[in-house]
Amino acid sequence: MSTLFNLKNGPSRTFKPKKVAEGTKQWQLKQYAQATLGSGNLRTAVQLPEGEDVQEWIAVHVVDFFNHVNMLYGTISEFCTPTECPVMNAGPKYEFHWDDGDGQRRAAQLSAPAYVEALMTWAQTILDDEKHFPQKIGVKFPPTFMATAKTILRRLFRVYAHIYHSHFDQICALGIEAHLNTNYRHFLLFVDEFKLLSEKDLVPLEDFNNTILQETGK
Amino acid sequence: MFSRVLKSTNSGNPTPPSKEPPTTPSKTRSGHAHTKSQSQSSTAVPPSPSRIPVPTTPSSRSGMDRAGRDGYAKENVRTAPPPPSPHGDRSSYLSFLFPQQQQQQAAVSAPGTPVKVNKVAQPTIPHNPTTVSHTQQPQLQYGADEDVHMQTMRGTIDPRMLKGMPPGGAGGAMRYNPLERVQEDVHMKTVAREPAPPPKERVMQPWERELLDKAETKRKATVAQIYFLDYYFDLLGYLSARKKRLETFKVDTAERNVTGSDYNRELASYNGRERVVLRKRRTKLRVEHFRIIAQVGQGGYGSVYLARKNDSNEVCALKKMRKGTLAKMDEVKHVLVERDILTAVKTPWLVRLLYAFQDREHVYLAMEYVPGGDFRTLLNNSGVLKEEHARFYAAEMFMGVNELHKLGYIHRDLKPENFLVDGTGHVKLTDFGLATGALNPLRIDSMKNKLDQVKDQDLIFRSTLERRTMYRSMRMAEPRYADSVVGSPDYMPPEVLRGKTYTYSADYWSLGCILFEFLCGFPPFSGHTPEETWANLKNWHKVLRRPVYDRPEDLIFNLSDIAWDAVIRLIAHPKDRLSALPDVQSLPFFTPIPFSSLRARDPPFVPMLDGETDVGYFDSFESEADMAKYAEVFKKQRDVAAVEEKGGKAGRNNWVGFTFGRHVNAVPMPPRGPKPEGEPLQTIF
Repeated sequence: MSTLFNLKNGPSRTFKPKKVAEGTKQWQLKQYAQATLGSGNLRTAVQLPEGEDVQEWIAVHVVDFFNHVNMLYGTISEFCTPTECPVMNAGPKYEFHWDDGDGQRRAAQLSAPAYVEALMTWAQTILDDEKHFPQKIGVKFPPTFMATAKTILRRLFRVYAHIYHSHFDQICALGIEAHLNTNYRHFLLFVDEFKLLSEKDLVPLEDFNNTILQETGK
Repeated sequence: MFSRVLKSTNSGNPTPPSKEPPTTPSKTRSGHAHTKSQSQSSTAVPPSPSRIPVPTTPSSRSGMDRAGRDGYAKENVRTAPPPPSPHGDRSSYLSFLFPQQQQQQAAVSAPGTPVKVNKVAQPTIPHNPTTVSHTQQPQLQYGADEDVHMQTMRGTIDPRMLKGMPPGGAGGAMRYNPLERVQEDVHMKTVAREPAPPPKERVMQPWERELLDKAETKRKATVAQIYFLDYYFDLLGYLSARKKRLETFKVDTAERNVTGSDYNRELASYNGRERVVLRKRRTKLRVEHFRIIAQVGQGGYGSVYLARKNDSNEVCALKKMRKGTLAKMDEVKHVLVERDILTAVKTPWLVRLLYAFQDREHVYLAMEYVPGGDFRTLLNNSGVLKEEHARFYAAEMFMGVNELHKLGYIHRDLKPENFLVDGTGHVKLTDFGLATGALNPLRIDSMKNKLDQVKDQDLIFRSTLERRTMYRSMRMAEPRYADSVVGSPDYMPPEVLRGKTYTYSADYWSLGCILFEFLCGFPPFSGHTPEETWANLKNWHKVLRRPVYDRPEDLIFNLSDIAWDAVIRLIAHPKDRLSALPDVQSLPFFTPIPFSSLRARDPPFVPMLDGETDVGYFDSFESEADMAKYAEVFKKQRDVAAVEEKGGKAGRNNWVGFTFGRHVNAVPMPPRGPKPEGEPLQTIF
């Protein structure tokens, strides 16, 4: 258990983050996460809080998952090169092509890094757009909000799928597989709770998904 | 630990998982076999839940059409026939989901030793009872089984997938699953031509290992780990606190007998407040959320403003840096390190980071505002410090630098500009941008070159008085020299300038130079020109002389013996230099100083502040006279901007993990009753 959330320290002579000392916030976090995550709490955590607006609840999660994917992909982005991943895929069975929505061209076959870059830039633009994700207090969501949210989540899922299929070894070598697993589980439980993605959307990680859903007592 | 155990378990399997064959786009996208496999699988064997179902429509169009329905861009899910062994080396990603079961495994197996506990990889179906249950009721009964882990793993990682799948080698595959056969048909050519490569599991390629060893890669992983811990800590804490607030609301309204429409009104109001909090949780921190009060600094890479955060009214120093400039000057790493140090800080000796955020063009660090100005300004104003004041400030500086060292960083470029005077008159260290493991190699090269170019005859000996006067006039002419992009080498130890190995004692050299300047009014190696400074640094042991004043009115400027002793114990060759705080504390010069209670002592000077946003101790960026000091800084900044080519776009991955601090950590005031203060941790479990 001790290394489940172990923080990897580099061997560098001058760059030595301190060991997590007992009593510090980081230590507290570690204890807490070890005690909490992995049990059934995420299933409860994704449920709509009593009295909350479902769109508001989904909006905050879409933003969170965007940030999480950005963070996770960022850790392995050096490994995900046009040479190593010439096509955005989730294993050899699923390829994803990018359509920037201008209606001019066919969906383009991009390398994984180019695809992710396009995806994240696209998503960022929408998340920053007051029309789609209103940030001002009291402003309502547009009627298209649910469709927008689903599209973003569906595309974010592909980055998870690509990481699992093509970069999981590297994730393990970096010691963040537990973090990825927890986070993906959170993602899946969330989209499952509100039926935001179809089974077909989730097919590239289907076995894993079934395990998660079954294990959390769905 | 457990995942490691599982991994080693896997790698020790008699039939190691195979690596997927490389994608051949033209093959994988062929759709003609799909309908066939569909019909076969439905008639022969019900699809195992672990199987990736084959799309019902033969063409990849379906993905496009469906995707195009809801809003944004159309997108394609290109579905290709399943490969022989899709998930072979993926089983370990389940590790996190089965902590208890893995614990059992861990107990019986020595970590790191390949163990044959994982029956998953046994390829033959008769030994696999779960396949039977697959056909009946997939996965539902696993929970009741004693061997939960094994069973579930089977359901997830189909044993058939874990086979090596040598071409034509596994007759068993065809025996128990017609689906498999169809897939083999589809992939036959590919598989035949490209036999499954040997399992690559956990064997990193050299280029991968090189990347994994990079400090930057490790840093990102560490930041991600902390980020997720922090996120879940925050999320679960939020949910728990929210639950409590609702309970409080219910109890409160019940106690007050609020019913009917009154109750509904209060409930709506309560829910509205919760919604505001929730919305703020996703609101990205932007520079618009700050009101700029005044500019308080200008460096080569950006500006520093005094600002107030709109919603919380917090006052902070907002450091704004252009991504393009930082990328151009190879300073991204330095800013990230600064951010890392600042987020780790919990000591009064280092400036605290409140928020870090970014937009397309800039990165921002919102730091605690330290209103007393920096030591450059203080020295420009005071010239020479009294020995007791120099002792106090130097001691505080050592404490600050020691905190940085405790975090594992060496600053290497300490100068008076890095030390600020806070509202109480005590010292804080700021600007850790250079405190990385490695200086920019280009910069080291250029410094080395400059040292090498210096000829011995360039060495000019000047009297103390001359040097002091010269330095004063230089400071008048160019007071913010060190703020410009290139910076000044005045306080840098020779081993750093030469790119040699250095230790924590590198910073003690710099502090020695600062102490010298406190006592003498000029830094020990400053020359009239940059060349002269370089010459002085190269010949530092000849240049470093105890300043002597002989004019009667100047005699008070002469250093005491213990002060000079302190200076030369710090400005010394690395092997002779003091290198630990206790050694410094035991110097006779510092013995009058109670290091442990420094911050409780009265400082020599307490800034006279007119409120928390007083910028009187900083240069005024509205005054032409003050701005003239920055002419050089601005010029260098323009030079950098002119050659800037790396725009913001290339920088996305550079800045992952930079953002720090939630926009809103406040909780709404509950309608009535006390604010819930309880531990969020306790209710969650």
